[in-house]
Amino acid sequence: MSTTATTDDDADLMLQVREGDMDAFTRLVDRWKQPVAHFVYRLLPDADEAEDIAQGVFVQLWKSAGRYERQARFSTFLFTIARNLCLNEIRRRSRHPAESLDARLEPEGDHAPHQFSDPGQVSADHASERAELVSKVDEAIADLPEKQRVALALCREGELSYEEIAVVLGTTVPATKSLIHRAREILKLRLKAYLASGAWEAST
Amino acid sequence: MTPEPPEDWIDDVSGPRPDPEAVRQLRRPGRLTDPERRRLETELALNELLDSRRPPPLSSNFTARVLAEVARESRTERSAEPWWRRLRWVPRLVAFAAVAIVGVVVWNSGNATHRARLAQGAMELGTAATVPGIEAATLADFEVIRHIAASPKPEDDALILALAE
Repeated sequence: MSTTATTDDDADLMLQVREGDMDAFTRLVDRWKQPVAHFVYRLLPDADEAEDIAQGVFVQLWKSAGRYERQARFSTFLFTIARNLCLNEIRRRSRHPAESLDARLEPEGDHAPHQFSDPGQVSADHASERAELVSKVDEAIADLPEKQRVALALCREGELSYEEIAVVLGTTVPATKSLIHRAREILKLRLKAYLASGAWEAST
Repeated sequence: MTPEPPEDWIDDVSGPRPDPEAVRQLRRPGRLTDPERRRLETELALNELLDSRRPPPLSSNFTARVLAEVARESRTERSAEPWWRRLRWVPRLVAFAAVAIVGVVVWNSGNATHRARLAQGAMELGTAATVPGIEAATLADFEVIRHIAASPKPEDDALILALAE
């Protein structure tokens, strides 16, 4: 989906939503549910919870419709809501670590990857290896500082430009680029062996 | 000659929606130095690794669930609203009534002033009619009437008396 192409349409629909138009709201939900769910999933990688939070994002969108002004791009308005809900959830989890995603992941002191160092072994059990790889990536992302994590998620999933990401994060474009750059540097370091082996390709 | 890569090619490759054509150009032989090419491949590999984390598809009833939740929340909000907040239309009504009253008063006052002016005009017309020697046709001419003094001047009285004799 092209965000830019739909911006005016979305703004129009949002103005109708502000007037209480449920059909316009339904169209917006249908149009944006996938990007929002993907964005949430990148920050809180639990499919069921991501769906619940994505649902909450749209409920909040309905409630906040009165505050929407046409000057604001719809995508940045929507992803600001999504970002806030995700951060609330992440903070809630950090206060109650027993419920957090980290608790579901295997505790591992050594982050150095080893299962995929030999590409010859990769084909042995794709499903379990993929699960392992995904959990490694999730783990590395979960360890990123909050702002870097959100910036990276918006960059990879939100289909937003650097300018739009900067608006959602409430910062400047250079600062946004710096956040994304730093996040990627950390991930490259943490996932070095996987990147070298192409393990994600073999396991997909 | 192969053009130099743009200085911000790393931002383009590692940023939102990297352009496949730009990537293809960067991969052309001689475009990047060896360290730069390694960097490019690592950035692209990281993109692919990050994008490999696809969530399962959303439930088919996702939109229906959102709409149901919105309806439920709207009902809850209405029922949880204190009674005095449901009367939020009252101040609007009062403001509207006040504006309407002010409008009526202003219109009425303007109307009364206009009626008083008409009465004054009629009175002046009546006075003028009593002045001897003024014909009805003259009274029809408002400009003439306006320039006639309310009471006859002494020289006019003298002239009238002289003519009468």
